[in-house]
Amino acid sequence: MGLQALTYLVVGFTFAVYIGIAIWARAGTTSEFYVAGGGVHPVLNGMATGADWMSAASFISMAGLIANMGFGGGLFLMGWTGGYVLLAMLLAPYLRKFGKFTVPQFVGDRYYSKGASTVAVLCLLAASVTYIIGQMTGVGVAFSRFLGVSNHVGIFIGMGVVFMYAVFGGMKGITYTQVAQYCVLILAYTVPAVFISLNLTGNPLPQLGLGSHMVGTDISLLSKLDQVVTDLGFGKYTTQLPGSTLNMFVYTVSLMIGTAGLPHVIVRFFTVPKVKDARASAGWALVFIGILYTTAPAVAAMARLNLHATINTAVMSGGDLFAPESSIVYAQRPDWMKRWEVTGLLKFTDKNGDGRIQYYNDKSKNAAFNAKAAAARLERQ
Amino acid sequence: MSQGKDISQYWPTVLRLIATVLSVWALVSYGFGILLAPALNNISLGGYPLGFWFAQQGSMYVFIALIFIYAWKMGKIDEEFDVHEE
Amino acid sequence: MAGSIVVAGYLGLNPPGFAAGTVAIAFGLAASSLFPCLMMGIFSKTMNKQGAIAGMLAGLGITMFYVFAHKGIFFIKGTEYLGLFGGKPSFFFGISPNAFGAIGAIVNFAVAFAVKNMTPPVPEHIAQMVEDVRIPRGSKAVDGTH
Repeated sequence: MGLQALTYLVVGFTFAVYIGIAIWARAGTTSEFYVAGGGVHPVLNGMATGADWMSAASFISMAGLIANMGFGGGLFLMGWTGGYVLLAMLLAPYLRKFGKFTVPQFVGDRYYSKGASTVAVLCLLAASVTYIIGQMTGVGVAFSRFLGVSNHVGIFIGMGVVFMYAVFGGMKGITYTQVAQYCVLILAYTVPAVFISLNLTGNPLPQLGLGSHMVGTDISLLSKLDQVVTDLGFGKYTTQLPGSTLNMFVYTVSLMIGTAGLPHVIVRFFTVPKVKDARASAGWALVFIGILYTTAPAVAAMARLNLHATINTAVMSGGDLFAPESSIVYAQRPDWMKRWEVTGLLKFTDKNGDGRIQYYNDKSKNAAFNAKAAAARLERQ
Repeated sequence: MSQGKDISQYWPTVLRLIATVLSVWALVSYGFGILLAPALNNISLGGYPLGFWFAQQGSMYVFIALIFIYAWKMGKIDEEFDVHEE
Repeated sequence: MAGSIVVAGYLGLNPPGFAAGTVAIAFGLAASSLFPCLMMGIFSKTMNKQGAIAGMLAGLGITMFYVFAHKGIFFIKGTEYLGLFGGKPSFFFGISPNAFGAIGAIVNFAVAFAVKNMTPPVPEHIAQMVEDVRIPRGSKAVDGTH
């Protein structure tokens, strides 16, 4: 069986499981559908929140962004987890005590006016539509890679699937389906990470592997990565900032308080049995989200190192990064690059006509690096 | 009702707890993870520079601990003031 | 609903950024509008409807204004108006549009308190309701009435 056939089989199987659980769980009463967490243990409620949270953005896009941003990528990690602390202390227990279903209902009652709740609906719409646009971008990536089609076709198929899901189901609201989804998602994310970590550092826990030494050497993975990326003219991985410290600070604040203000998370805490459960449930949600979010930076750094090592053999052998024979020949590029080229999300331009792939920062401001790169280009002409 | 502490002190007690938890929350993320990260990077934790570790690992572990500590403390405060749910 | 999926899909074809970056803008919009409103609803007994409404509109408005300057009006390519601000991206102290929600939230709080002080105070029963929300005892099961 080919890789493609296996992928279809696994994805088909997980869909069957979700739908099966949805049908099984539906045997309960209709009111259970609304008060999804009512009869559910806070731990399971936390898991379901985790499944909601592991969207296309966290699951597909985040590790890539961190790989590219280095240290600054931490703003996504801190921002999208730190908000739960605010949620648990400032909002969740009180909104639960208030005893209404939705955010606009709370706003309308507390501010004693229809106008306030209308404005709240407007704000919700603005945030939600923007949120879906972002997720659609991710859905397009997933479907285009999965089916081997262009990114645009992938988005059209994704729209169709989302539409069918919304029409036929509402089944996503059922907590047990989401618990199953959480298990599938987290395994799909962590199992490869464990093997990558084992391979590079000999430590099976990615969270520890990221802070370990490279196999067979006494140099740590992060300092190796720092050295490779700075040699290639990129910012130093462990200190690189997104613009400025101020921007990173403000960005993190924005994500944290946004987490505490986004409806699809808040609603989860309206429906737990007691005020006490609302507090604990936020903690459990963060435990399950934390498994993904502490693995992601390891995946990011290891993938970044792997990318450079694939394109440039001198990265691992410690030879001259700028020697012509270090760069891989385009025709011999690995299969995954070919598959991603189909989606249009990965492109190569042979600027110097040598038929090899070079990947370095051509906008570097470092004079010594530019001189080396220029010399390497000259040699090849 | 009579065995609980003075109810007017309930909300100030809750606010004090929130302030304490939030200061730790801000210290590990905005303090250690962002503002003080360059200085902390001179210290290493295994193969991690410490500031980098706080930004990409440590602050998340602290967040999880903070929520459970908060939930546990709040449970005790609610009982002391006799306002907990039956 | 179908309409919103189509709109989102169309804009997904011409995304204003990476998935996580665009989602970050959504968080910024929620941060600048809903979070302050909810928080003041619980932690301030005196916040009135005029303050809350003005705060939400101001926070959301200024955040959208800053984001659209970089990404185009309603994310439509070619309608960016950075030129009005000298054409330099992140012109406000180097803060990127994805990060602007926090500034929007500060504006929200400031406007809300300013407007509150100029308008009639909250009715007595609302203040009583806030008192009640702060205490866990007596919470009822959520009722489905809308």
